[in-house]
Amino acid sequence: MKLTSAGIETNAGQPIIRSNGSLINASVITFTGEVSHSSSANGTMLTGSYTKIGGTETNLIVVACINGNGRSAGVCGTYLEIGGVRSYTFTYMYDNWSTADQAIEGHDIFTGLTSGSKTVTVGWSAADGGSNQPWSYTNPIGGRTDSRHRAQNSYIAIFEVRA
Amino acid sequence: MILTGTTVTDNSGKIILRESGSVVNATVLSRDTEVSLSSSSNGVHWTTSYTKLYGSSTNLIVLPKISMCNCYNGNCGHYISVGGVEKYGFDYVYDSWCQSDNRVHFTATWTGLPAGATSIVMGWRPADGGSNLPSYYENPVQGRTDNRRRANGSRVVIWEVVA
Repeated sequence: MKLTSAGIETNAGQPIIRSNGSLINASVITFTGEVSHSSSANGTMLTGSYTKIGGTETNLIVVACINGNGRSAGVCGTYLEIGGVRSYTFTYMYDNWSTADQAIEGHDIFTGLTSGSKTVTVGWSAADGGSNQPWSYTNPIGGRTDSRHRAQNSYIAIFEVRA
Repeated sequence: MILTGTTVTDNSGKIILRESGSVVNATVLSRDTEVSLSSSSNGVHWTTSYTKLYGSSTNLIVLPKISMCNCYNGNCGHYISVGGVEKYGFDYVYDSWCQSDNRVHFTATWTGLPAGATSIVMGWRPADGGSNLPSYYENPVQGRTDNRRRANGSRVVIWEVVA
């Protein structure tokens, strides 16, 4: 490999790091410990933080899997929010069998955020303002609602890339 | 840092960058416009494209997700085609309470594709050739069939990495 003015290239001349689209940082927030919920018009399941390295010249690609149990409302406006920017594409994988595993999954890109500490929140907010909850337990303990259940954690992977 | 033929190492000899597996581009394709779907033996959710920067020296790692609501057929042979190469692991998350959020999602890699415009097609094609409908609405607008629903869209994360 060799350094050029455009970045790092292979010996064959192909860039392997470019200014645009390059990966600046990769991080996973792991959430452990069961959290119980109750019905609300605006609920928070998990809160964490990510320290953004670049300013508005970088984007955050976020991939999330939030696990729960004890399903309640199949439609309740689940979201993932970073630095005050909210995305509703993190949708609820509901199952009508009440003791089945449930999850909120999705991925999205967050642009235009400044550098520094950003609060990461997963929650719900139904569009009609009514009181709901997706499930009763986030990161359910082993045996919660079904003796076959294993304890589960939740994960949010954050990839910071050059815009 | 020390540049060698295929790696960059720190002064203690630990690898901090490898030629193979390096990310040369990361991007997210988005679609938020609602589409009403109809029963078909060969239906299309979304046709989009990615401009592959390099030829067969890079692979594409693709994470697609199509958001839907009001499911109909639980099995209808979802596929995603990237550069004309189809994969059928694009699984449908179906629930018997059909008003809930539905989705298809997947993760896979495509190798050997040439550089340039690369068509991405996501759709369904049942193995028996019958006419089917996964869900009535793709990228549902707020309040679609349930006042609690938030609008949600579809995303495709693409990582172009050195093979």
